[in-house]
This record gives sequence, structure tokens and C-alpha cells, in this order.
Amino acid sequence: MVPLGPSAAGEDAAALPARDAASDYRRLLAALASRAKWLGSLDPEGAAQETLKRSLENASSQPAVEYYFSQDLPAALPPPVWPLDQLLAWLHGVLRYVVREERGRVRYSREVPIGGIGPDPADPTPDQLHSLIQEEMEGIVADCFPMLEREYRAVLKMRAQGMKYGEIATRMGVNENTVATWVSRGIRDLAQRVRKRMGGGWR
Amino acid sequence: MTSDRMDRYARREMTPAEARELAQESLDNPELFEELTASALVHAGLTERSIRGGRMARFRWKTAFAAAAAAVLLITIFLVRPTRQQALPQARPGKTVVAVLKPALGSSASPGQPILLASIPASDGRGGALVFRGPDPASRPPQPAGVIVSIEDGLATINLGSLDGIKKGSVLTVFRDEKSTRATGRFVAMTVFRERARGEIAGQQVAQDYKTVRVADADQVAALMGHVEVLVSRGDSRPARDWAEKAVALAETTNIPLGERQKAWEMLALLETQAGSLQAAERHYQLAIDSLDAESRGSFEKHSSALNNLAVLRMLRGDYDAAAALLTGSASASNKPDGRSLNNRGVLAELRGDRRSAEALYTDAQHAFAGGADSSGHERRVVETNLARIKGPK
Repeated sequence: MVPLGPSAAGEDAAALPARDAASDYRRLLAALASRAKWLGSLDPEGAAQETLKRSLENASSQPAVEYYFSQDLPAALPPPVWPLDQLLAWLHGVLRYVVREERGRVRYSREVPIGGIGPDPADPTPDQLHSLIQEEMEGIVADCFPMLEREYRAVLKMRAQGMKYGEIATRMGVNENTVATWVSRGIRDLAQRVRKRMGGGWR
Repeated sequence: MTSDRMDRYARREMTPAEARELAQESLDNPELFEELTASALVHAGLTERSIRGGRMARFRWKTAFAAAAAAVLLITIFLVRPTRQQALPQARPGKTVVAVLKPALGSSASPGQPILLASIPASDGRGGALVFRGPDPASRPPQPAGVIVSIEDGLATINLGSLDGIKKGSVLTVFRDEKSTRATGRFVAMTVFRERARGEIAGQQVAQDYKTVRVADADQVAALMGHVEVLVSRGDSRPARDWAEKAVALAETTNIPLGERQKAWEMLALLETQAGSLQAAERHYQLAIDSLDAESRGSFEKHSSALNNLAVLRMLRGDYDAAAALLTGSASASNKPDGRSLNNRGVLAELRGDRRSAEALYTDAQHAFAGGADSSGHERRVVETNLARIKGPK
């Protein structure tokens, strides 16, 4: 007989959450389900659970999920390599993929021919996270960026080129605090515009 | 939520502990969670390319290039057509020929074009790997999860089988239902049929209460790849690419062996090349090659093939320097003379005007195909065509 449960595990044990993910991450699941619904999921709770499962199974994202979102921070858990914003972008990408996958299954169960299953043909490589996060976001940012105020555009452009606050300040003839303020305001202004743009049909 | 904290998050200045506090706060504040995610996506999309207005700039460049190319083509047709016999000799020698030569892949080559070789199946499925699973059009796609349909004499039967990546010894996780995320037992496959499998399950009570079984990620990816191969063998390129994209997405988001992920990238790259999505193909070849560098340096032949295919893509878009570096890597990765790589190095030499080296490389490629047990008659003929062309105008 095969022994029971994740603790009995063998090599597959690592693939399973050590604890009950559903209760440990109850609030994260609710937040992801809300986003899944907005992305058009017919089963937002299921999509949220699948996204969490995949994020806990992935060796890169798992420490970040545990650190930032577990109910109780495990003692002596070191800070993750990923910053919070990288994790949130990843969760968005996985969730979006899971929702698309779900739509594919729905189409299959409606007996659409095999050729009809799969991603939106208008998007040639929609299922890779690189595509999702990089290309689409780059496109949206490219559209929104020119609407920012001139100073914000200038500092964000120089930051994207890898310049430090001190260098930017010297070039623009302002002090570093002003540069820091323009960077954060620029990012937040851009985020607002991106949210509006995404709400207008980015699915 | 203070504006100062949000500003510091936007500038990525928070300590991990502060970021955790903010993350926890966002779980009770949907508006904050959305704001943090939007800011995260801006960071992901804020690159030099997007700031330059990448898409629009590329579009304008492409449009301008297309217009210029059309104009050049019209002028060329107008000038060449009436005096074709006289014009050709003038175009042959020296750099003029080199400047107008463009390589092409396989059957898409026009007479006079240097022909490249890559291990890419024909779009009708010919040339693809042999598939020992019947090309049954009614075959269902693989499923990631199934159910326990019966239990008899301590053995459970599930409605998943070899089609779903199950093999003897595969371990599936048992859940209460399809929405549950907490595994409570395991099913080990002992006898595997096409769409069913029988095996042991951990405890009678578990088997009765918990009905859903989920296929291990590595087996799911293997099943998806098997399905892709079936579709390729049928010549169903578009669905094959869709399913390869699913396999890649699953492979990228789950913890499976790197070698399996590499196979998925390479298969998708092949299908993208076939479909003309060359940039996407390049990206996936690059990922496959990077993964080979990390794990599979012993797999000389595959390494060589992936490098060669990526070099071909680079040559098709005119990046000859990058192609040269890859072909050099391909030659050193292979432990025997590789006819495709030698041929493509010959094309590169020809494009650069070094006809003597091109001829030597084509000759070596011809010998490699003649001596190889797996030599393809078609590929040998391609090399002979290249060789005849390079010898002809001497």
C-alpha cells in the first residue's frame, strides 16, 4: 500500500503545499478570485485556487508568496528574492493564463472542434508569462506614457536607461529629492492610467 | 494607507518587512490590492522600448521599409526585365551580388538563392517525428484531472490513461473534489490503458471519500507534448501550436525538470518557425538553448540542432554576426560533422562574399550527408544545389 498524505511523500512532497493552502491563504484567494472575475472567469474561486497552487509549486514564486501573503509569517523565514511588485506581476500573469485555460476547457466541453480550442487567435503567443507581462504591458505603457507630464516622462525615461537619482538630478538641474518625488508620482500616475486602460477591455 | 508608503513602494524602496505589512494590508483592502498590482505591472512594462513608443515606432519603420522595398522592387523589375541577359553578368561578380543575396529556407527558396537547412517539419506533417500513437481524429486531448470511477479488490480504476501522460508507476494526487487544493492521498498506476488506469490507492476510506485525481505536472506536460506530436503528424499545424503554447505555459509555471521544459520550448519554436512567427520562435529557441547550457551539456546532438535552428532564424532576418556565433557554437557542440550546420556556414560565407570558403563548407556538408546513417536525400540535394550554384559562375 502507498502511504497517505504529503508527509509520506517521496519526491512529490515538494510539489504540495506543506499546510492547508486554502485556509492559510484565504484572504489572498479572495483577492485573486475578485481579479479572476474581472478577467472574465466563470469560476473565479477555482481560478484563484489554481493560481495559488501553481505559485506555491514554482520554486521562484513560492518563497515570495509565503513571505508576503501567508497568514502567519513562519519564524526565521528569510526575505524572498522577489520584491513584492514582481510577485504581484507574476500572480497577475498566472491568473490570466489560468482564466484563458478555463475558457479553453469551456469551449471544448461545448464540443467545439479541436482546432477551435486555445488562445485568442489575434494574440499569437498569449500563453507565455513573458508575453503576458512584457509585451502587453509594454504596449499599454507605450500608449499611456506620452500622457504623463513632461518632468515625469523625463525622469522615468532616464530611470529605464539605468541612471541613478544623482545623475538624473545633475542632468535636470534639480535636487535628488525632487527626482525621487517625480519618479514615484510618475509611476503612480502611469499606474492609474494603466488601470483605466485595462478596465476598458484588456482581457 | 499613507501616500508616503505608496510612494516608497512605487520607487521600490521598501524593506521586505514593510512590503509584507503592505501586502497583508492589501488583502483586506481590494482597492489597495488593485493599486499595488497596477503599479507592479507598470514596473514590468516600463522599459526603454515601451518608453520609446516601441509598437508605433516599429510599425512606422515597418511601413516605411515595406514602401521602400516595394519601390526598389518596382524599379528593379523595370530596369532588369528588358535586358535580363545583359544585366545578369553585371550583377554576378563582387559585392553587388553579395548585397542582394538573401538566404531562404527549404522549399521557399527561389532559384539562385542560397538554401538554409534546419530541423523543422514540413507544415503538412511530413518530416516530423514518427508518432506511434494512431492519428485518430477523434482522439480527445489530454486531461489534467480525472475521477476514481470504481474500486474493486483494493484496486481503483480512474478515467485517465496513457493519453493523459499516465504510465506505469505514475503517482497521481487524490483530492476531495476538483476545487480542493489540499491533497489527501495518492494513486499509483499499475496497469495503464489508453483512457483508463488501474492502481493502488492509499486507504479504502480515502478512496471512497475523495474522488478527484490530478496528474503530476511533469506527466501533464508530457501528455500535452504527445498530443502536439499527434497533431503535427496529421499536419494540423495551428492546433499543434496552440497545444504547444499550453505545454510551454504549464512547463514555465510549474516545477518540472528543466529538460522537459526545454523540449516544450523547442517544439513550440519549431511550430512558430513553421507558421512564420520568427521572433517568437527565436525567443523560445533562446530559452531552450539557455536551459541546455544549464543542464544538458551532454546532449550534444540536440544542442547542436537547437543552435543551428536559431542561427537559421537569425540569418533569415539578416543578423549574420549573431548567426555566425551560433553556428560556431553548433559546430563545437556536435561530436560529429553536422551537415546542416556546415551547409549553413557555407551560406554565411557565400553571403559575405567568401566563395572559396563557401565551396569548401558545402563540400564538407555533402560529405557529412553522404556518410551519415541518418542522411536525408532531400537535404543532400539542397547541399548539391548550393554547391552547383557556387561553382557555376566561376
